[in-house]
Amino acid sequence: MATLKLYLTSLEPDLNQTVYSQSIGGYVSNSLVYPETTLSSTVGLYDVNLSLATPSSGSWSEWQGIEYINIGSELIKIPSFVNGSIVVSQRAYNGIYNVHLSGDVVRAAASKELLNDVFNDSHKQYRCVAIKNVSTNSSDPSQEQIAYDLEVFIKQNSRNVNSDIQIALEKPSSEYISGVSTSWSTSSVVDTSLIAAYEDDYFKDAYLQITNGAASGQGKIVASFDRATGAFTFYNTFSEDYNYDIVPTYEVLPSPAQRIKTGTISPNVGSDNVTHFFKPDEFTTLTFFEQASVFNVSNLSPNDVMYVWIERTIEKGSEKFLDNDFVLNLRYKVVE
Amino acid sequence: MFINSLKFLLRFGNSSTITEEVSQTGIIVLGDNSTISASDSGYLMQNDQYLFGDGLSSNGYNTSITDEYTLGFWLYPVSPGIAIDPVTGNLLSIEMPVIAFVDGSSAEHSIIEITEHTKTSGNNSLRVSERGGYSADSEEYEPGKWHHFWITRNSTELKIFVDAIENTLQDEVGTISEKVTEGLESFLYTYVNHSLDGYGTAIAKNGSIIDDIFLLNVMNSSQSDIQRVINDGVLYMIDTIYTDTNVVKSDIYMEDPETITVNSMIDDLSYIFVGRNDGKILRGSPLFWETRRSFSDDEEYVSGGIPESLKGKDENDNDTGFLKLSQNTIRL
Repeated sequence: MATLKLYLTSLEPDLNQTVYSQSIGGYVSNSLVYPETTLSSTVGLYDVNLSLATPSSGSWSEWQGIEYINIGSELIKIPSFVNGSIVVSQRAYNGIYNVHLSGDVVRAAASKELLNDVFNDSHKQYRCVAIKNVSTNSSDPSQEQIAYDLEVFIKQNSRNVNSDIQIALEKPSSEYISGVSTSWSTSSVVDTSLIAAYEDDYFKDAYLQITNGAASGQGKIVASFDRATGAFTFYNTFSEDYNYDIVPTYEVLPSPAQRIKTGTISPNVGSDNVTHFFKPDEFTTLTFFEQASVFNVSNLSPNDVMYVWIERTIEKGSEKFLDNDFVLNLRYKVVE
Repeated sequence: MFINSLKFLLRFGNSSTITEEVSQTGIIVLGDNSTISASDSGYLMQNDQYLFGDGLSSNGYNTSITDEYTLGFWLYPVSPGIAIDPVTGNLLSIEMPVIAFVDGSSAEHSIIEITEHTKTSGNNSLRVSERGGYSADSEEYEPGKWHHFWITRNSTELKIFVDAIENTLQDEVGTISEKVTEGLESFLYTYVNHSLDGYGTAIAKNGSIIDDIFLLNVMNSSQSDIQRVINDGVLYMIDTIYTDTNVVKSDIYMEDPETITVNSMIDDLSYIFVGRNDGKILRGSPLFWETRRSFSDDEEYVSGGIPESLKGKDENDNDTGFLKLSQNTIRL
């Protein structure tokens, strides 16, 4: 089964996004929306003792000082966090009780991280997060890794009546691909197998990364793609130090979302690539329908992404802004 | 489309009619009170009524049960307390019917009977009784909150999960029989809140709320299935539209500050610019900031920071929360 995770967005590719409020479109950063780990034991509806596995980083430093954790749709209030053994202060802080199994993802829902208290004159603010399929085929190639017919909906809107959340979906204009270069230089990578496969500039602004040899991990933003030659040309050149004699393997990450100048400016919505803002619920979800002329954007293969724009509106005259949270659900078919 | 093993499904809504969804047949309300109290939250069991279902053509529900089944439902239990034996004066646990599946013969053999029992601790427990004389109780649970019950068995064992946690069976009586419907047909009738033993000192009607009752003719003790039913709803386990889906959930949390500290401010006659102690510079229209009130309300009133003459008043002399213009200047 495919594994989907939410990432912050950033101005440049392959960066850690440390300023959460700057998650306002662009490339998929390397930072999850919240630090996460997994449950070590099953938690019933009203259990108050949680056992958490040590995070993959090996340290609880990111978790110190947090007040809430999120498992499934449930927000749980916890006392001052120290380690992986917790006696919770309040289950279902957002009114949703869930059952949690050993291995379920636990997130540190740090206060004031993503959305903050800076609004525009219409009392709105905007953020963009990326849904990424992080499944890998290495462990079990027979296992289905594609998330089919992805749907997004708001399971729970803000509990504060003066605060309202709407979302829009933006699809990347190009999908993830990987391949083997037939030749490369400091300024371009050529893959003749792509000749006539895609339109000119189909991969413009996507991030191409070398995955083998001395340049492994190095990447550049694609300035143009030539349909006739299969050549990717970059805005900036690779270093002369790399060995250009090897046959490099490469990957092109999905193209970035639009990026807004500040979190108080609305993104462009209502186009072929971006839906309008909606409040989709479980029965009327938000999705892109399959379009014959492009890749099926609703099916997320490993490394594919979908962007979610978040619009938060507050009412004039609100005296307090407590109980602000919303539950975003991603539903997909595990078989085609 | 429902999965093949689903044999009975009763979900309640705001309608005055109740339909068993697998057979698409109606449920009959019996007793002195024919008005049901049901909503999306479930069916509120009444002291003077019970529900009866007899399936297609009144022949019972075709459960095809032999040695396995899985029965699940939500229950919001109540506890009427403990009874006192009028003869001995001893305390007695009160038995309350929940749901029973009986065979269609005139003798109405109880095949599967679920009852609640009060405890001296103030909690309740759930008892599963089968026709062969076998019964077992759940561990105690607290009334006054929703609980999910998941009962499943095969030819050798019974399991009870309460709120997704497998209970250690309490007060087991008899030995579980290999087949549930030994010697009888598997076409079953259903009662909700009806005691086949009648009522007495220690047997009373149930006043709980019940919802999403389903019956499978297979044993299922899958933790992930139990989780889906509890977290996402029963359709995610029994309806093929949902069974092949996965739901990834993420709560995005933000808490705005209740107070902000302002260390500078300027008004250019169009906007108010506010410098905060954390370095942020905010811009707002005068109307916006007046209506936010978040830095001009209680504290400054209490401390006397805003003179009474600057407070905006309505026609009834009540505080509007807006600042009053005084000599064409706003004094903040």
